[in-house]
Amino acid sequence: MAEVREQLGHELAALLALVQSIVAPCEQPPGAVAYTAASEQFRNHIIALGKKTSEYLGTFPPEAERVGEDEEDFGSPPGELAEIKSAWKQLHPYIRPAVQADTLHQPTSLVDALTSRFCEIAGFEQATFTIFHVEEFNYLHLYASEIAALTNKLAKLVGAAELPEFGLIGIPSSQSSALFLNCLIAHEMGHYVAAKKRFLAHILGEAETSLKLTMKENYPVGKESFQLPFKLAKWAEELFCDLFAIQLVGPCYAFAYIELYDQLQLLKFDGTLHGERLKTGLDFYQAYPSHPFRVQRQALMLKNSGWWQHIRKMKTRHAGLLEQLVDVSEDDHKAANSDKRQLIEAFLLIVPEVIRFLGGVAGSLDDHVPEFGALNSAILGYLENGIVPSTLNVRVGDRVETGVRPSFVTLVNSGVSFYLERIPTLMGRIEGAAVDSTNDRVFWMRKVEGWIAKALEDVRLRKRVADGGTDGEAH
Amino acid sequence: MAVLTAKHIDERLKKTIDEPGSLVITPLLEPTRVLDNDSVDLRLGTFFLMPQTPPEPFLDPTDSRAAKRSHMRIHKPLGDYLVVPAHQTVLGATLEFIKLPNDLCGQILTKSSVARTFLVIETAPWIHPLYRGCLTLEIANVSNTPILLYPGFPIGQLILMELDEPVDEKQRLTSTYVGPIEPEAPDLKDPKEVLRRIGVEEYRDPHKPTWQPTKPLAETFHSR
Repeated sequence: MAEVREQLGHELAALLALVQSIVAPCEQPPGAVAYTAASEQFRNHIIALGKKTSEYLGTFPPEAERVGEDEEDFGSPPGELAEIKSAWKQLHPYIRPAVQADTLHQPTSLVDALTSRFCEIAGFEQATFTIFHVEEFNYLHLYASEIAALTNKLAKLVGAAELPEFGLIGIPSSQSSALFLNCLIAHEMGHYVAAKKRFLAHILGEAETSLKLTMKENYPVGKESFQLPFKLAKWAEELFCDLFAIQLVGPCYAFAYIELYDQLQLLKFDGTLHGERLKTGLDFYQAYPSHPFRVQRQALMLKNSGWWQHIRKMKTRHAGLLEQLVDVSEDDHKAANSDKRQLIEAFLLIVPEVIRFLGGVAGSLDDHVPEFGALNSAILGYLENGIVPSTLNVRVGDRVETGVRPSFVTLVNSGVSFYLERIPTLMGRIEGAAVDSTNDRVFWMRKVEGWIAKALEDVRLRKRVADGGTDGEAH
Repeated sequence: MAVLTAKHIDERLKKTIDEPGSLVITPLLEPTRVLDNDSVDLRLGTFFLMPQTPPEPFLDPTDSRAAKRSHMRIHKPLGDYLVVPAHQTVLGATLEFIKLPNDLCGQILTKSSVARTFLVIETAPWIHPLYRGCLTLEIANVSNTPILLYPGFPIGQLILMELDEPVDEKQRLTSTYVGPIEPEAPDLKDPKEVLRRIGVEEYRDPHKPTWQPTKPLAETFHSR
């Protein structure tokens, strides 16, 4: 018995050492860093889970002795230890990336503003999001339910509280302080909505019906009969999230998408589409529709909104691409995907349902287009003069409206349009800034991002003061 | 040169930015509280640059990266605080972003209540016409006890003064510190360039044991 106890003692200690080292980054974040409320909550939950695991392991031997009177039972390590170890190993990859995403290493003001905007959706008033870093150059949404299932299983074993609910969004670590590219976070918020509203379950039925309609007698039997509708449903979810993002933040999402996924390569310098590149680009991926298809759908949604009149006035290749892609026909998509033509046909049939579903979830969100129309030129003027546009004095006819507080959607879209069109104008006002110098351009692009980030913060603060000063704050 | 009163400050704050004399202070929270008879209270911002020991044993102005390496960037959201140890310094910035018109200059002073804790917020307090940006504060705790800094607290007073004659509105903005929104590390000038302009031909390079020419070698050779 003594030998068994010694063996068990070693295994418990080894496991505790492992858990302590996994939790350590949460307990000792590097330097004097601060976290948003949601990140702090996630960190504290991991610390509490570690503490409970430690307590559990500390009381394990007496329990084991009681159970282990039968040598047969005691012949192998208790199964709970393996389960605990496995759960911590699965949690391990998320801990340091979450700790690294402190308020200096995430677009804090953008995330705050996006979250506030997101909370305007009925049923999501209390939603919060935790940002963590990913090493891939991509944005991702971690299904909170997966993490929750993992931590809650562990919590149940060791007697800890369950994980509070929030969305978990991964951003490329290199883009932690960028502002405009991080508008893509809106897409990941869409995945959170999709999970909560059970989008996949809803669209799977539609996918199956449309596949049966297009494939007729070719509709597969057996395993593939499940895989094909699922594939279509996953494509549909990506599309849903793109359109959700447009609904949430407006055209700046499409511009950020075009930039991140290098879609300007589809345009020749004369502004027309590059036929060969488009043809290659239209090929759908295993888990996603093609990029040009996705941008086209974003463009079509914008075309059916008040944003289009403003996009058409923009003198930028990003806007030009949106206009060009609108005219790509369904036949072009089918032709470029000849090996999966019927799948594409079936997918096109469920697109209206995706749009309808989006309307049901977020259709009532104010798009802020009239406000954008009224304030955009003033905001551009502020930026052109190197001024943070958080308190605007705007001329309306003969009078001046003072202290105007622009909304997040207006600010970020004006900011992006300035970023795309007017950096040279700003640089023209600056002594020693050379428009031909790529380094100088980057410097001033970052400045503009900083001014918009500051404006977002200021506007939120002004609103809080106007509302009586009772909003939550980062810790 | 007259000091602007609250009434005139308020009038200028209400102008559109293309009107002559327009002044921007944003966000101006609780305007009735922060606008005094002849000054505006400014709050402490949320970003700081804390001096840290650089990898080199000195701060070398000839190395453009040295100033950046000698500070650690810190964010303290509203509600949080930063501890400034006794006899220590930190760079902070005002929460408010300011844009002065071409006919005003300004000065930022430590608020008297703050000064009485032996906290000094400015050693370069003058603000030129057409300046735009959050004001960098060279905060020094000259007391014998650690002091807590709370972002969002009024820490300085901005005094605005009218120039006898406005500067040219159309002049290009100098890029060194245009539009900072948080404290920025100093943009130090290479001493050899400055010295060369005033006719000094040699200077001591801290990384090399001997005196170095301020002019490029070829130029030095020809001039001799």
